[in-house]
Amino acid sequence: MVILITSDNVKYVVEKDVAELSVLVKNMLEDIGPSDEPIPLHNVTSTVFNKVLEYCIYHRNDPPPSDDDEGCASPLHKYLASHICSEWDQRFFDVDQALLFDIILAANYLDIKTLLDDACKAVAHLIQGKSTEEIRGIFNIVNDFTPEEEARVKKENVSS
Amino acid sequence: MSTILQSNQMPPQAPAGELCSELLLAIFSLTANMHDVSEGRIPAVDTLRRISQVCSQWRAFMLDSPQLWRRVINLSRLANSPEWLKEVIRRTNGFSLFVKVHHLQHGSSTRGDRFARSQLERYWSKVEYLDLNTNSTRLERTDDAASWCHLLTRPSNLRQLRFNSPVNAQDLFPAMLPGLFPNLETIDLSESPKSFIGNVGRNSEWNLPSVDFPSLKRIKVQMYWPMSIPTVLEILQNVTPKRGCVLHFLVSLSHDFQVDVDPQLFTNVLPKYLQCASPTICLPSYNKAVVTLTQRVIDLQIQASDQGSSRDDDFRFNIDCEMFNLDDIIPTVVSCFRSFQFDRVEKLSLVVHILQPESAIGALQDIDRVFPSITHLKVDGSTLDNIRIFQDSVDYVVFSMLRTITALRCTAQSIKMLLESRTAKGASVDSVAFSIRPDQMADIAVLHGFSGLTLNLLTAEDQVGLVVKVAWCVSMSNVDPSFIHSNSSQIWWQEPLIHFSQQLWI
Repeated sequence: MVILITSDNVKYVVEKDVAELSVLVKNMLEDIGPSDEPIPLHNVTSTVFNKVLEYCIYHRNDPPPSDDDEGCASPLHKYLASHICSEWDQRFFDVDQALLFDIILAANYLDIKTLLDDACKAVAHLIQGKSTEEIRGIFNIVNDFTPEEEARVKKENVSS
Repeated sequence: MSTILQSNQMPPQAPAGELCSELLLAIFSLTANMHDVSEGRIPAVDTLRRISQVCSQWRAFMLDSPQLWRRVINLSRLANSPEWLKEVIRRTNGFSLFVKVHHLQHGSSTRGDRFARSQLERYWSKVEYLDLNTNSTRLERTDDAASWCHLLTRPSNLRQLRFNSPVNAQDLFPAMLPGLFPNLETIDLSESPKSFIGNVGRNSEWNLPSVDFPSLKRIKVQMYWPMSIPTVLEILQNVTPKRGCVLHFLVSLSHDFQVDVDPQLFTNVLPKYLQCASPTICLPSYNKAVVTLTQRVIDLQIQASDQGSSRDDDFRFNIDCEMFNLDDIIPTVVSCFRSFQFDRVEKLSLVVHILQPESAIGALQDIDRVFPSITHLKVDGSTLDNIRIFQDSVDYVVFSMLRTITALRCTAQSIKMLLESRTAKGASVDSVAFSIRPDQMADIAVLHGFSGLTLNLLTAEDQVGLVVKVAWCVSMSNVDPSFIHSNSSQIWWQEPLIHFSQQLWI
């Protein structure tokens, strides 16, 4: 078992194979060797880690992800890879968007490639088919273009 | 992801600003995908444009990400926006291009095809991936076909080529033979089943050169016109792909053109590509084969998975012919496999319906030798009878590793005769699955002597509906359906009786 402590000081006792889905944790365990010392996860709160843990437990027996060489994988292959997602995963990522972005940040920090990939797919699906204004709404972004930039964007829309 | 797509909550404080450029790139890359189902409705190039117009920070990021723009060159979408196309190409900053041209609707495609071709000519050296699909019958001028062919004669950095058009393969494929595709990894050429453009018959004075494609890992050719077959076979004969390259050769003929194909071409091509593919198709994952030999269909497949349909990664040689009798070329094609052994293949789906009995026996002899490790065999009644005749004629056990037989459209009597023939040679099987009509249920009694054999009685959909352990049925010499209903406790049911009733009797 491995003891992990989140940034809000919540302690988790996690089975080693589950914890080692995180490359960060795996490397830390290798560095410190056999030890009962808890491992601090500075950038992850318990709220987010609960979700991360749920994902890791569900996917603990999945085959390891293959390295995706952009040059080698065909677009069709990439398309299939980007769409193969179980019903469980669909439900897992059906969360409010703030939590979804937090999961991305946690997966990136903990270096859990499959979780990061899947969460990015979920966000990409939010974007696809949306207008610029809708995307601004999803990401809570304010239009900060100068009048000159705005004119260029309008011209671009006309020519496209 | 449909549930997520339907979710429209707008969070008051989305932490999008905390995403580093690496994560933004990862997310935006997933939207830069011309193979998404939404491409016809909202092309990826438009999604990228919209993303690039969200705010000044994202705009700067997008304009500095040529690796995104290079993947969305949908020339069908951009045909009406030449200025925008120019801008998109500018944003690729010299990166290689993924180009898609899909003109599936009649009407606008002649102009669209010409626009696409002119752009491809312009940017040809940058194109890394080309997916061209036009089934327009309006692409009717042979000079259009010639222009496409001419394009393929130019030096190229293509890695993947998918070309589905009315331009016939016998014109298109030779155009590539100057060998100017050092990076090409996959070729996927498909003729249109509806129309045919180009020369009819190969120019006999054309001396096809031998060409190396050092990176080629997969060749798929789909032909619908018989005049293409000899030329394509000759070309395949002269091409040297990368070791491990898998061939997917498909011919589907419904047109009444008489074309003579020299059988020697098959014997030159098939063994060559089997040999070439062997590092791939001898991997443990390639554990399934499909062999169909009938008057109308020759189909030889080595498959990498259990899924029913063939995948492009499978080795396949298929001729599907409505108009001609293939009996004469079956021995030649089968002989091409003779010197190979696929001992990883454990599951074989086999159909042998050949008029001449000696040809059927010869084919089965070769198949038994080529696939020595078959444990699961799926056949129909006629094929089962052919195997039994073959088994009777030899003093060894055919398919010696066999444990399970699935027999469709087959009688219990045929199964009994095959099992008896194998038993006489000292071999048995563990289970037989076969479909049986309710009114023929009594026939299973003929199998009562095969103690220990498991019978899986299939429904019309080939699903297991009922499992009978023969050891428990020994006394059922005069079994009939009512007996089975009234004595169900004596039979080991895989599913509850009510389920059996629904599956099998309705």
